[in-house]
Amino acid sequence: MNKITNLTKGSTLLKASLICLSFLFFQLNSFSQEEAVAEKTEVASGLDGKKLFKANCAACHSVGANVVVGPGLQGVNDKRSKEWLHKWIKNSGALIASGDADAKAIFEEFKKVPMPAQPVSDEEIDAILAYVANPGAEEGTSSPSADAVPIGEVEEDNSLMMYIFGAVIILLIILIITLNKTGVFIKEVIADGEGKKYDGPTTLWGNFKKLCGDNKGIVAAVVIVLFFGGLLDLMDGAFQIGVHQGYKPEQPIKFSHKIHAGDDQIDCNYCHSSARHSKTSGIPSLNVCMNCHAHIDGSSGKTFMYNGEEHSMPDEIQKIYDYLDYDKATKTYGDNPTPVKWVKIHNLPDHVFFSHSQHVTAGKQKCQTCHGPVEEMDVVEQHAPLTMKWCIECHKNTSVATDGNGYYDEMHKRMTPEFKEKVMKDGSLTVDEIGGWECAKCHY
Amino acid sequence: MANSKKYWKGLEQLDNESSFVKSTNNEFSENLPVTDFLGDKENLDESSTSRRDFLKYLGFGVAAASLAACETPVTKAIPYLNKPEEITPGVANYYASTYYDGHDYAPILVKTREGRPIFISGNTESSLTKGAINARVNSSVLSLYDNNRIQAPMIAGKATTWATIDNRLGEALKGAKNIKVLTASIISPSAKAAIHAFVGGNVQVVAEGEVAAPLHNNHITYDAISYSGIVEANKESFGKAAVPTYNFEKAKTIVSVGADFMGNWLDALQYVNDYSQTRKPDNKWMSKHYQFEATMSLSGSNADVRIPVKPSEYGAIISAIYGQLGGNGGAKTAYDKQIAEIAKELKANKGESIVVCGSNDKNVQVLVNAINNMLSNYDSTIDIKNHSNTKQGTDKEVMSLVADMNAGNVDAVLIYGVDPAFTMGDTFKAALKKVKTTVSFATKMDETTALCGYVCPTHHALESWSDANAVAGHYSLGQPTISPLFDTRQAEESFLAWSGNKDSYYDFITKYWEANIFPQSGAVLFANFWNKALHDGVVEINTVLAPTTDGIESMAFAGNTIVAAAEVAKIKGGALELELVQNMSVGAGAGADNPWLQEMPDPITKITWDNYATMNPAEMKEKGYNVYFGQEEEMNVVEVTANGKTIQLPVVGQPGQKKGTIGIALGYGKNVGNMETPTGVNAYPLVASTKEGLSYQTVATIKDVELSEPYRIACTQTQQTVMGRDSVIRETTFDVYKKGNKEDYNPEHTLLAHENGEYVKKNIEEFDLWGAQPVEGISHRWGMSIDMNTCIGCSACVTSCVSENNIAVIGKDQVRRGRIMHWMRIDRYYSSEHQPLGAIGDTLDETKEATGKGTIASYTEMESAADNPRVVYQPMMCQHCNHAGCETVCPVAATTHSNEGLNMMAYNRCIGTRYCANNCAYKVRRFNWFNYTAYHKFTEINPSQDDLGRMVLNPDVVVRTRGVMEKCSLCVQRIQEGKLNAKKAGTKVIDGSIQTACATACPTNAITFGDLNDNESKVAAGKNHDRAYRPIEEVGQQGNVYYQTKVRNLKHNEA
Repeated sequence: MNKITNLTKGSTLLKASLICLSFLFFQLNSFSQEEAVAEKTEVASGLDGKKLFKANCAACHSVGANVVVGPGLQGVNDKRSKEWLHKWIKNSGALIASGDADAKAIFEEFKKVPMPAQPVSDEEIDAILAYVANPGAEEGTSSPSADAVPIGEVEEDNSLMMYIFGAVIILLIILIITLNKTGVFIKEVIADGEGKKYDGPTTLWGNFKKLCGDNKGIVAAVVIVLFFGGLLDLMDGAFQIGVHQGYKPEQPIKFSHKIHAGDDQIDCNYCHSSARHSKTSGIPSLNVCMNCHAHIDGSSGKTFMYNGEEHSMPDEIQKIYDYLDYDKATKTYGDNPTPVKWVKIHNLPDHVFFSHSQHVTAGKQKCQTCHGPVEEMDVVEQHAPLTMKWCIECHKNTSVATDGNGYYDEMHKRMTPEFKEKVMKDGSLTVDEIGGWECAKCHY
Repeated sequence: MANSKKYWKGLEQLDNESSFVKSTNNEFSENLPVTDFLGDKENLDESSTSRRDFLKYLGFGVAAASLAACETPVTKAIPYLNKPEEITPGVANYYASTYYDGHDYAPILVKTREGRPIFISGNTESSLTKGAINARVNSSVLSLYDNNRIQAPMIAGKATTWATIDNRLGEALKGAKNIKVLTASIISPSAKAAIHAFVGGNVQVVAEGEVAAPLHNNHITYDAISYSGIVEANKESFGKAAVPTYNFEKAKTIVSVGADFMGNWLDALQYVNDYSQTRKPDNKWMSKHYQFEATMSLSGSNADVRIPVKPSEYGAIISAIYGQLGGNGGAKTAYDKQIAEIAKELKANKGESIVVCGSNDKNVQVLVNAINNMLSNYDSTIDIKNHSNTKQGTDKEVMSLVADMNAGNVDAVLIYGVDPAFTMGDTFKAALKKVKTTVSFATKMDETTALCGYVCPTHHALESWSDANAVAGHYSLGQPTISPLFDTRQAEESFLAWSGNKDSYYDFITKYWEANIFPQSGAVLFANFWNKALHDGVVEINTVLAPTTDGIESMAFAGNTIVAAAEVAKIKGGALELELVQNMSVGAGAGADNPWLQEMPDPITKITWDNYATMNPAEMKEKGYNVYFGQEEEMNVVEVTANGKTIQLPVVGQPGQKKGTIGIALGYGKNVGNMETPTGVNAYPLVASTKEGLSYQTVATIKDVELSEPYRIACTQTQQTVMGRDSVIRETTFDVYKKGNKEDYNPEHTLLAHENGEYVKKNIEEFDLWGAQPVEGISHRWGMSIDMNTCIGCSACVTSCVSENNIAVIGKDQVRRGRIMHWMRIDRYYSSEHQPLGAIGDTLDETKEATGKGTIASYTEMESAADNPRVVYQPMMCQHCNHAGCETVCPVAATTHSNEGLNMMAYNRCIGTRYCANNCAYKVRRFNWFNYTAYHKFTEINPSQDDLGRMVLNPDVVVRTRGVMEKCSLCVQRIQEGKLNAKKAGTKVIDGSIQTACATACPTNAITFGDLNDNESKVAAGKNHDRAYRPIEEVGQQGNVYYQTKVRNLKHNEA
């Protein structure tokens, strides 16, 4: 007897834990699905002509016939020879200078705005040209699963699914109510048949309560599972508080990093010059913009892509002039300039001290390590989570740039042999090994 | 032996007062009133918050907090439109400038961030001050960001424009008979030229139809603290009405009679560094410093021999010294034995001694001159040829101006840099009423400005161009470090405008320098000379000794000592004498409304936010006054009457105060702007004004006052004690030190250990509970070395630390409760040779037993300790212990040790259990009881509560909030910056390139910061020095801050 009770108890526990586990599994499963999606898109945007085109050409050219900044590339393979195209893409200026008639004609046609030399290999050019020759077919050839579905379409699919789901739920509710009514009716009929009065619950709610009352163990298990599940969710949510990875605000001037850092290959430090010297990278003042935009005034009337929309270049460049109270025609500055209020993307809490120059100059880190491929972003977004976990993981894995730095030579001299042996076991001196994990390195 | 002496912070400790003993055993000096609160049934019942309400609020609070956390505000980043070339956001710029407020002169360096000055340190390029500053100088940056400043020009109390002022004032001055400009001593040659252009350029109608020549004597110099006794004595003695310069660096014997030359007397900032050079026992000789004085001053507390005397005896003592040296002085005094000894020593160090006196009596000063002349000190330690310009006023000149004003002979008076209504009081107020046109150039609405018809606010010094010629041949420049915050105009520019000069003051200065100073420099191009001068801040021209103003070349002493001695003999004292002094925080009144300075504990009394009358504790006990300090101690308040004026002040016990005297600090009670009530009481009315001039020593009477409300004082003396451990201080005498046996003055801490069947003494460091911190084998080991011999206790480091580390100002009430936030404090310990046997904590019974005397005799014995104690100053901050007590008890690891030897404090991790503060042997941790920067209770007190006041905050240091612990970080932000600079340059960290805020502020370079792992560093030398020890070393916390044993220039048997 005793044994049996234990068994039953055990089985209830077993059930509860099984449900718990399944809940956990569901959670994990949902994660893995997300990851799978992420992987898929990466696979889809693998090294192929389309990707190369988007990265290198799409800022100025379309695959159709329309003009963006430069001419549309529809049928360009038929119009020009392969050799000519290679020369032009690699260095259009040289081709024009060499006196090539076609090159000159295009240069004149597009108001003498040169096409910047592109750092692409011959193979890459071929891939791009192949894509341009048949953009639709290329998409067709890729397998449906690996297809990079534009985000908008996914959303449409989702909403359709939602409608169906909603409809099913409504149907289910109707079904339950009908079933309940039928059930009660049958019970009443049975009771009537037995000559008794049916005294059970008649409403749906009443029946539900009775069901729960009859199966207290299961209800308890469900409640426990829901409680812990909720707790897990809460914790998960709490870890995301203040994390704004992917934050991508609209800026007062639609400044495209993709055009400046990507297409035009302007060094990050040209505008963000403080990064080498100061804790802040510094947002360039408008006089830095004017170094170039005093000449590039947007009179070409081109458009560019920003956040998936086409915008007029002259309009955006004009904004600089408006802020500076600058008259493009007379090239004079007025007395009423107003500062630009950019929206800050990377916000560290006040209690964290972060120095750009420590990472850029002393640590020799690339901007992209933390900021991601800014040269590919038209709208800059927060690439890294900027959590402390992210900081210390990097400090764990990154080697200190000690080579040729007298500061570290001196430190090296001071280290005891035991310490050297300990830290150099893995062949590299990482940041955390010389105190990069200490509180007062960042918090004071 | 080093440790045989007893050290006590206050009388509570000396007398072993029961509440003190109890409170020292607790972390918090007073119990928190938790039981009172919870035990108060009535109050609790009345309160409407029930338990259920509480839970509701709690629930709502949690929900609201989590909701608020989800909503992140959009932050804007606004770059420069056109970035100035020299500014890199995030990188500090330093500008050389000059501080002068009519009282302190110091060439300074101003640190600015993005165009905001945030920190002031001394300019070491100056050979006058050698980088010395005091707390008032480095706190002056806060007064820039003060909403209390006058924000626009005013006529008759109404805001107006500068054009209107210029018009209306031009009308008013047209045909004015006698225009007077009243200023503090002007040491700026350009400003002087501008003012003289104004007073000389204006048409002065003397009588009808008669026009006077330009009258430079229409510019009257008024020093709030008068030194006219010295000026006039020098006029009589050497034919030169000026204050000499002193070179303490050469002085082997220093005798000061009532002159606080290290604190506030004359150009103290020019003396302190030189003085400290003579206090290094490792040199061949060490100066011997004698101080006679009534009230314990900063100088007196640092003297080797301090003799308490009555102020009326100052003259007699000088006369006696003169007599002993062979002059015609010398009535008998009570101190003849000491004086004979001093005279002997002075004779032995002819030409290498200095005798100074704080009396403002011309006759006394003539005798002082005679003494120094007899000792051949002129042209050696004292220089009257290259005189100081910082004190130019004479009392007679000012008195005749007041008389003229009263007689209605003055049509217009323009007042700049002084507040005579505050310092001269009713006499000046009445006279000012008789003047038709009154103009004030003040930056804040002070008492004089409130009475003036025209208010022409001048820039703050950090917004102004200026130059200075403090001493002949020594020039310095001041440059603006921020654009003017308000609609103000520099006074000099106003003078220029009103005298028809269209130049800006900057142009005026450059022209003046090009014409007058550049030719002396021997430089080739003015532009180069000017740029270098501006960069360095100082220009020093080795001039041939300046010829005297009166054409007397020889400068032989020509004073009449017979008359002087006779006059001095006539000085009479009284039963109770009053000495009016200035303290290190408020000075003559400059710091009266500066919260940093008010919160800085006085170096000696350790009292904040108050002035008071100091009195001998034994005398106070006779009168039944309370001599103790504490959170709830009630002070006695007295009425002090002198020269027919009466003020009410609390009275506090000051060990070392001469019996029969009281001391009161000037400068308090100043009404500035819209301050609700001024701090303290104005003591200027008590200054005695005679025909001869002002006197700061006078006869007074006191009367008890019954107050309806108890008066309490915020004194930090009894807070943060070191639990009676007596190995905190080590001191010795010069002869013992020179003998060179370290065991005698700085013995090692040892323990007996049982080894191989024998007891052996082993160094304390060999006993360890924990494994060693790897601070010596990885990279740096930051540490500090503090020389207690050169620390004079001035507390400039305290305010410097406040400025650098955004330390909250908390106000009198909170300081009284022992919650002061200062990361570093200067512990002031008294010790006494008269102390009877036994350790600190001797009770009456113990003393009776030890001395074998009766009750009264034993009391006398105990009290005598407080009559003339010796003083030791010890800067105390986090010791960054390698085996720190705080680190092991933190439940959340918010405080941990770095492998660079720093005890780190992560504020955002701290949950405020305060275990660490409880376990700290040095009591250096501070807990934020309130959110001082936001809570409405502190709006009036904390400057960080308004947008302007926040501009002074250091952007590299986080502002702490309620509920977290904080403490000295060894300026880790500066360490990180210095290391980064070294990494960028690819070199090792050069010793001295990283300095903590306190080290930069120290006028005597007593604080050395550096890398203990760098064998060539100064700090490592300090650590390995024979005098080096660590306080409470025996508990084995292994701090990274080393102190150097104090050495007094006394014989072993004297000490």
